[in-house]
Amino acid sequence: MLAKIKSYSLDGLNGYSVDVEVDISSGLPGYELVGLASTATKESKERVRSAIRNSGFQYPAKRITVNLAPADTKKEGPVFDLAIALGILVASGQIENKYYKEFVAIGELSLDGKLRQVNGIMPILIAAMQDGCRKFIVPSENAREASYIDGIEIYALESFRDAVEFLSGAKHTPIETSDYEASCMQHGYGVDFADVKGQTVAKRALEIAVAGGHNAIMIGPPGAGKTMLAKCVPTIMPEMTFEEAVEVTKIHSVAGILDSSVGIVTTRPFRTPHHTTTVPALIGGGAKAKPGEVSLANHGVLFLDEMPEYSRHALETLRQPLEDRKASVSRVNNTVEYPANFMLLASMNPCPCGNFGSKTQICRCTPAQIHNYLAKLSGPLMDRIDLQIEVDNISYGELRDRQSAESSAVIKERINAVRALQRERFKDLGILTNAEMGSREMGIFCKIDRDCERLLEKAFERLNLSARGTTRILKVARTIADLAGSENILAPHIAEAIQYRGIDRKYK
Amino acid sequence: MDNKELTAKVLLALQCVEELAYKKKADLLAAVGDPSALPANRDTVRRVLGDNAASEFFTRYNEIDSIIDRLQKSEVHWVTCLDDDYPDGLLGIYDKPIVLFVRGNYAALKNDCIGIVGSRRPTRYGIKVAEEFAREFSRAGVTVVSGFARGIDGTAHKACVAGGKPTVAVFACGLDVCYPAEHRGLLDGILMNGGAIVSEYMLGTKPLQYHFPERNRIISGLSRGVFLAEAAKKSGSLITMRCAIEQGKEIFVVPGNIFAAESEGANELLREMPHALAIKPEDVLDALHIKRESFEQKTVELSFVENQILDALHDEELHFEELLSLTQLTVNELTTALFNLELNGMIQNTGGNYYSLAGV
Repeated sequence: MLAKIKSYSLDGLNGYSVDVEVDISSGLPGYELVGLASTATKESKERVRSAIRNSGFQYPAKRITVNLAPADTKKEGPVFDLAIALGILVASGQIENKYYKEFVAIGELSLDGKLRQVNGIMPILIAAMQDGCRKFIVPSENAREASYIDGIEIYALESFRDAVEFLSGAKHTPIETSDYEASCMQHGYGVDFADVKGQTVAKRALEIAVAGGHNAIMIGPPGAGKTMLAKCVPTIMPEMTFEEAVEVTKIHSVAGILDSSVGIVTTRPFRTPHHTTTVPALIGGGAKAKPGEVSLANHGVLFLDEMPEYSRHALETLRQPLEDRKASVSRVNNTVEYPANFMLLASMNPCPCGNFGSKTQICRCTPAQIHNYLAKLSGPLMDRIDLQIEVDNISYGELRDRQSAESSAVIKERINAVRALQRERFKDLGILTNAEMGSREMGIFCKIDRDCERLLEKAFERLNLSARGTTRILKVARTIADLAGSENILAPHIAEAIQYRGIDRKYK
Repeated sequence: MDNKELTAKVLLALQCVEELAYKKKADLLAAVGDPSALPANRDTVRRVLGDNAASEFFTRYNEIDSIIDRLQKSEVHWVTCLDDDYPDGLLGIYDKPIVLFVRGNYAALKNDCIGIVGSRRPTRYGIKVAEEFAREFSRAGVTVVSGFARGIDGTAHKACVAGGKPTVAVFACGLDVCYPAEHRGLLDGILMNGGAIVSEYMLGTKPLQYHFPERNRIISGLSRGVFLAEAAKKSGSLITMRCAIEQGKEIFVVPGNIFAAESEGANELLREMPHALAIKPEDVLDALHIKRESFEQKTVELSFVENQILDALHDEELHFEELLSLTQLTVNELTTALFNLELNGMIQNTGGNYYSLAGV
């Protein structure tokens, strides 16, 4: 007898439907799995047999053929376990009800018949929903993640036995849809901008960077507080919309780093890959074309501490995701594209010893060493970084007796307002922030008057700036104008934007 | 070929003999009296220079036309110590180069020159001193002479180039070798602003270690006075100061931080020669009787806040934070004010968010 159970699998972030067909015929007892299954999928044979037996059902001593259709796509992972096991029971007549045909079954089986969680539930459910599927059986550990999807019936079950009983007519209630807003309760970060004394310039620059989604680099001697400042950045990141949260959750779910007790990513990711990171870890890759750090940082921040220490190759591969805001991972049999719309935040010392330009320490590096150190960040890469922030050691006096600084919550409020303004401005243009403006958008939103133009010209002439920086300056000036609530970019906004080109001016 | 031309060629050939001490060249010239007679007196040359150097001399002499050709192609001018054109300052010194190679504006050497020397690893203080004095010297119409090295030398050249004034760099290698390489841009700047580069070494000579002390005597020789911006205890710039003293030139020293090892050499020198003390560019210019050219002051309307900032910076360099608490402005207002002042050339950002008056 033949049975067909619907299941789903993932190709990158895109789910696709897989029909699990089980045929039981007389002959020598055996088990054959066809349909380009990977090792983890093939091994389902043993899990399925034990799970069926240990759940109190009969494993038919006949010839069992399982086909995963479409047969020409590579199937990854153990998500088909449940569908195969159910198929065997249907085909052997142990489930008589035809109810199963309405369901999509997803889940890995353990030997004792428990349903184990699988990665990528959210993208799978979204894809299946778009294909018109309405009823799902998922492992109970995936319930939280699945619960954010509205408009479908999802049954989160503990074990294979529950699934069989359910399909045979036992009552179960579908899980309730979770409220995203409620999940976005205040998260403690452990740090706050109010704790960072002094550093007014750096804080202001980071506020601008986050407000406009601008890439930024902090340059300063060791111990100046670059990493501390960076750690505070998540505390002022604007709230994610539900759509953004879903997109981030999909990626984290596929990568298997989602916290299943929360089920959704509610805060913007802040990824800090170590400087020994490999290119595939950064961009995405591996045999299964997993998402890399740039995609895990989607809608959040990718922080590269001590940027020149990263391998040149790794840094250069960042150029394409920074430009296209997505990362393509090509493998022999397919190409997977992951979104990579992140804000790059980097930090670096001004020279190998770190003291170049310091007021108190003496730099022991030769000019050639300093040049080579800075040259690790190539021109094209630096061209994609809008703000260059100088961070310096603060004196003891400043640490001690400064009046309390603004808290992250206050800054975040301003940023939320400016982000909302940008969403409104770009709503028909498919972008979200000032940093994403192309030349066409800049022509519309970054117009400056004669006075400003003259100011820019004079600045280029007097202040040793490179003309390549013009677009960066204008974009940053746009965000500064937004923060100031100004419709047009005015001279003070440009003046401030130019202050954030410190590396161009002093170190080149 | 007249005698003068022949003499020049002989001296050039002699200068092109590598690793030949000045003393031997002088002995040789003294032995024959008239340099043009050298090629004919093979025995004398052999006796004084030794076989190797002598044969190299004759080889160079035989290919002298191609050497001259090469110099012309590289736009390098050369003068011998017997030329009328030879710089007066060098003429008076005992071990003057018998041939001097010059690229760029030769007139810059004939002007009043002041040498600026100092450490290759200066502190910020030393850099400020060199900048300030070089700028004021060049504004007063003096040519600043220095050694093109990293640190104080480069800073002094840069300050002149930034003001569009001529400056002279004395190389410790051939004029087609740029050492240190990162000064290539500076080299172009010197040549474009009416300055010159000078060397006693033939094209292609590498910057060997012992060239540097030799080069120092030319810096002091060309100059009427030599100014020391900063020197640690064993600084090479002290050699230049010693050369200057031996050559009877005026010397000037700026006192340094008594606690800093980077200033020890300069301070020690000051203790020996207290009259060399210079604390303002005018001290040097007055001592050398150089009249300062007066220049027009531009007037710029300043706002209250800008005045407040200038007043505050008058005493010391200040950090952005300090200015912020002083003026009680927002970050944007303060950056705008600072930007305007900087654009008008009144203050400068000295790095790490510190600001000071321009030229201090």
